[in-house]
Amino acid sequence: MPSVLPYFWLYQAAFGLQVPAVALFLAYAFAPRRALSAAATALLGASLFCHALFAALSAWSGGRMPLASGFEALSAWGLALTALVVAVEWRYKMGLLGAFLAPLSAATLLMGFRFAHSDAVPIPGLGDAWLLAHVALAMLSYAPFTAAAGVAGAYLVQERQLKAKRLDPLFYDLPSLQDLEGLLAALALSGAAALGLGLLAGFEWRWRYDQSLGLGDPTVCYSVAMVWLYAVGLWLRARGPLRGRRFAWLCLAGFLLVFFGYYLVNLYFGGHGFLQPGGGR
Amino acid sequence: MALIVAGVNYKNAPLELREALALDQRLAESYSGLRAGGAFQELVLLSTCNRVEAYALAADGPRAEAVLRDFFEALAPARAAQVRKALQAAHDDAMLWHLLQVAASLDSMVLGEAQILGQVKQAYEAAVHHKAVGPVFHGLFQRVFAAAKQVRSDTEIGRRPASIPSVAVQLAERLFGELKGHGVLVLGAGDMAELCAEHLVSAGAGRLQFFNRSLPKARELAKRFQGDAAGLDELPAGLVHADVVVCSSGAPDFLIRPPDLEKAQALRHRKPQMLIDISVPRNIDPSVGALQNVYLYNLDDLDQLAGEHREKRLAASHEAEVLLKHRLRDLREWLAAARVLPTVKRLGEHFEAVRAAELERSRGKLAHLSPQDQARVDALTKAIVQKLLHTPLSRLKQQAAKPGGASQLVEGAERLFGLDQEEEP
Repeated sequence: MPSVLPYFWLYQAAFGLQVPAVALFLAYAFAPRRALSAAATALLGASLFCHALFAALSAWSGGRMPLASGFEALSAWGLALTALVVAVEWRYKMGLLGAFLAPLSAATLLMGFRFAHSDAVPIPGLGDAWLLAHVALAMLSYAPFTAAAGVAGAYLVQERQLKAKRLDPLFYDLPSLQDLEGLLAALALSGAAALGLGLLAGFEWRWRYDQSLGLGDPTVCYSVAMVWLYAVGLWLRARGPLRGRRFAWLCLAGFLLVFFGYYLVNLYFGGHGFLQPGGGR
Repeated sequence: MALIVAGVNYKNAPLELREALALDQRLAESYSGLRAGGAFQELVLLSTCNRVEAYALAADGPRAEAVLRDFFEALAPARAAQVRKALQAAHDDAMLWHLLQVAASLDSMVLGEAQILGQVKQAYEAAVHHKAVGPVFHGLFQRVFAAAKQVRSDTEIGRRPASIPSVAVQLAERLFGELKGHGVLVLGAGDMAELCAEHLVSAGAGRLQFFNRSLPKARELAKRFQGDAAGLDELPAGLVHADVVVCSSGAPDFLIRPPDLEKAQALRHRKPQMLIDISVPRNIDPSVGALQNVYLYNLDDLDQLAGEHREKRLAASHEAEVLLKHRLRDLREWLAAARVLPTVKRLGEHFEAVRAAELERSRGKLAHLSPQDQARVDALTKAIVQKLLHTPLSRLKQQAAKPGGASQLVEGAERLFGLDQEEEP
């Protein structure tokens, strides 16, 4: 797809590296060879490098943070998600977890191509630290929510196997159920915290801008609801009723809601005032 | 130069015979006795509960085998006829293949068991300690260890536990990760429960609680495992703190029912619990397994998993054999080159001996030199010897790496420098 974006070839390279990485991670699920997961992680690391370079060069050439358009937001989401997947792989060194997570980061990058042909229209006031923090934190929060969905999938597979007393090869290459649930909770908590802080930064900016909180904006309401959903879910997990499989389902459902909120409301219906020309006025 | 292995193993020798031949307490004397005869250039003795074997490098294969046969018979003179019948030997390629299979656990009683590789490494280290290993076995054993490690990492031969207690431990590890800090409750005092407890403790499990109708028996076990003991009336409280419950009580009815677990689960904020019921009749109500975050396994479940694992190991052993055959081919090539190493070593030693002797003879004539100048003369002669040896040794090594090897060249070098008449080390 032709693009007018500068340095877009780096983004394409990042995606191009993720495709074989995903294939290798999936191959690992069928033939667990350490070399496969190591090669996949290396490719993912190279993709992360290209993507980070793309973001840095975009910021440098544009003279602003590259968070002002649908494409740039998806790019930030994908970048943070890839970094998370590499970090999780580095921590657990279990290729099978990559098979659950890497397809999500590749899919996020792929979605970016849908919007890459249009130039970013800078959001008025993006130079304001509060608005910048709002956009950056909101975008960053989507990465752990997405990673949590992948980990939730891995958890449900592992849990199903332990309950059903069937131990196929998948069983041996996942972290323990307790580790997966801990990772799930950490990802959900970091996502909710980032989104919550992003909302607070947005409220602050909006208050300075027109002495309102912008609660009439459907995306704001939706995001507040998401933060509450995760906060209540985490609290119920700590107390017991939502521990285990139920929490994994909550993370999967939460991801779908985040995805729905971001992709459909923001990108298709232009639901969020900050992203529209005029910055929500 | 011949490679040879001779010995007995669980396939051809009963336990009593293997016990009679065990070398653990007489390893040093075995090494010194075998090496004193001069039949071996290099030697590694392996003694485990399933095999007693000698791996050797010798100039004369048949002679070395005869010496080893005598050695094993002498280890158990009262059973000499039995030893003779059971003893097996293999040479060259067959020896290499056997060593690869042993180290990779393809020749083990429990296929794929992990201990044997460590035992072969220990045997090799002991041989190094007794100065029975030279350049050929150094290189050979390192390559065999690498091949065995590759088999373990690239195939599923050792990935699945094959006994009931080890399956129980692995399930617990799948659920909790590290078992350190996780509480274990043992209900009853059956042998299998005790065995499971042993495995869990060796896997790092935290404090153990023992519950039994007979408190003295529970206390006895608690003392052995440094845990706590209690009667069955305290079981509900014990369940709250137990991450793993092992039940083997022999009671005629269920001792743990869904309401008991429901209460415990509510109090422990629904943290996961694993229950292993290995009692017959069962002592944990099977409907407990339907509870959220509760994972119940009975004896049949564990036995079935262990059986499946054994089948998987068998299937993986074919894959492992293919891998080892590739490594065998590499070993053959390496050995062809390595066969010149003893000659290279002896040639170096021969030249060094001549140099040292000549220098010693001239010591009187050089007495007027200062210590610094004497050191310079020493270094100079060493450098001359090294220069003289460099080309012939390089040629030997190069020729050995080529197809056809360097046997004629080795023989020629040994005759030319009189190495064939020197006494064996």
